[in-house]
Amino acid sequence: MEKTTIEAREQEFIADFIELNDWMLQYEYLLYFIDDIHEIPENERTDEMRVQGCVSNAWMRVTADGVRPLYIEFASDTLIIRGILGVITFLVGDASRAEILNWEPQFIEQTALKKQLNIDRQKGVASILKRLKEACDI
Amino acid sequence: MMHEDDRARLCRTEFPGLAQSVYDQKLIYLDNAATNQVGRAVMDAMMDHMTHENANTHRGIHALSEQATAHFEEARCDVADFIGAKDSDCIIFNAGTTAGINMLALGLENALSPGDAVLVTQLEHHSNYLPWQQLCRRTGAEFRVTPLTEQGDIDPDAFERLLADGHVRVAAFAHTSNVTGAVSPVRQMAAAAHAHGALSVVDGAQGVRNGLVDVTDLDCDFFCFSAHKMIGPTGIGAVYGKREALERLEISSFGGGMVDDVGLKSSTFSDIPFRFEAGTPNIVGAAGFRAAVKTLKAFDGAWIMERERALTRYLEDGLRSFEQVTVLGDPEIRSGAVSFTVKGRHPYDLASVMDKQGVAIRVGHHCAIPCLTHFGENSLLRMSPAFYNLYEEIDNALLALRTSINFFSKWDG
Repeated sequence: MEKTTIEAREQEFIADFIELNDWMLQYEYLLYFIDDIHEIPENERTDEMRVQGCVSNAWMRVTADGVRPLYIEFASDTLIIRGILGVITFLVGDASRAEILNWEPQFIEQTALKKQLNIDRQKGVASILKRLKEACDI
Repeated sequence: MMHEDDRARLCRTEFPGLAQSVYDQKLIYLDNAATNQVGRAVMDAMMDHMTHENANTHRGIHALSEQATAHFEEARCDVADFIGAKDSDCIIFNAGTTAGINMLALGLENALSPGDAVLVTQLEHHSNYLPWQQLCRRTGAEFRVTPLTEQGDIDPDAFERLLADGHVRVAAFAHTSNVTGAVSPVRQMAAAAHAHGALSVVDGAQGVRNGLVDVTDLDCDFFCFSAHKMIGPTGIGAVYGKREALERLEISSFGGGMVDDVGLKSSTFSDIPFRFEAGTPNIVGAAGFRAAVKTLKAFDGAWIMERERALTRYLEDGLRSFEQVTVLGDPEIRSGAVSFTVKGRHPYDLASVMDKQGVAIRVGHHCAIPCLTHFGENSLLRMSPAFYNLYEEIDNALLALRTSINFFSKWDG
C-alpha cells in the first residue's frame, strides 16, 4: 500500500468534511474517527498527561524513542473531543518526527470545525498539537 | 395547556438580539443567568451618550461634561430607586458584582483579625466565595461555609449555628443561586447576621432583575449587582451600602476623581460615593444601566417575577419528564435557572449539538464548584430563562435536548 503524507491525509479529510455540508453529518463523520484512538486506560491517566486549556478533560501520552514512529495515546470524557483526537491520530499515522514537526495543521482552520469547536476547545486542540510537536523535537 | 405569551412577545420586540438566527436556526436564548440580551432602549441611550455628550464627568467646565455629569448622577438616582435605596449616594458604580464584592473584601481587611470569622454558603458563585476566602487567608480570620440541605437550599439552622459564637464579622450570601435558581430568604439571613454582630453582604446578581428587591426592607449592609443581568451592558454594576457600613469601609482603589486634597505626605478623600470610584467611571455604561432599570420598571416587576418563576417551573417539569435527566436540587423557591445532568452524556457534547439547533445554554461548573461538590457533580448543563422567553421556546429547547441525547446514542457502549 502506498505510503501517504500527513498533508495528503489532511487534504482528504478536509475535502470529505466540507462535502458533507451539514453539521449533523459532519459531527457523525468526526465521531467515526474515535475508533482510531489508542486509548489511555483510565487507571493510567495522570495529571501530567492532562491537556491544559481544554474545558473538558483530555489526556495525552506520547511515547517517543527517537527511532520508531511516535506512539500517541489519548483519552477524553467527551465524544466530540475524542473525535478530534481520533482525527489527529489518523492524520499523524506513522509519520516521521520530522514530518510532524513540519506539519502546519489546517483541518480546523479550513473546515466548519473552526465554528463548531468553541474557543476553549480550540485552545485545547492547539495545546495538544503543541505537545505533539514538543515530543518530536528530541 | 395554553400559556400566556402575548405580553412576552410584546417585550421581545425591545430586544433585537432575540430576533436573530444562528446556524440558520432561530435563536433560543436560555443563558440569561450569564448575561441578558440588551434592551433597545439601552443601546439607544448608550449611542445617544456617545453621540451627543461624550465627555468625562465631574469638573469639566464645558457643556458636554456638564450634561454627562448630570446624566451620570441621574443614573445613580434611578439605580438607587430601582433597588429601593433611599440615598443615591449609597450607590457605588463599579465594573459589576465581582468588582463590588472584591471592593468590600479589600475594604474590610483592617476590620478583621485572627479570632474573627467570615461566613459564606456553599451555594455561592466563586465571586462571593473567593474574595472572602482570600480575605481570611490574608487576615488569619476563619473562613466558614454554610452547608446546603439535601434539596439545595442554604441550611438555615447551620447558618444560625455558624453565627452563634459571635465571631463572624461578615456574612455573605446570594439572593438567588446561579446554578440551581434557589432563592434564599436573604431578609431573614441579614437579620440573623445582624443579631450576631456581623455585617451582611448580599450577592444580588441573580434575582435583582425584577426590581422587587428593596434593600431598605432587606436591611442588608451591602448589596452587589451587575447591569448585564438586568438587560443592561456588560462592564458596569453597583454596590449599595448603608451609609454607616460604607463609612466603615477602607478605600481600596486610588486615583483621579476621588480626592479632596493631595499633599506630599498625605491626602484626604472625597465623600461617599466618589471616594470609592477612582478613575474615569464607566459613563456610557451608566447611561445604559439607567435605561435598563427604567425599561425593567416599565415592564412591571411583579409580572417579571411571576413569569420567570413560572417559566422555570415549566422548564423543570419538562426536564424531569426525561428519564435520563437528573435535575440539580429541589429548592423551596426556584427562579431563573435549572441545572441538570444527562445519564451517559457529557454536558459539552450535548450543549454543542444543542447550539447547532440554535439553543444557547451553558455547561461546566458555572463558577460554583463548592455547590457542585455538594451535589457530587463536576459539570452540568444549565438552562436559564428570562421573562422575555416564550413557553414555545422552552418546548423547542427540550426537543433539541431530546435530539441531542439521541444523536449520540450510536456511540453508546
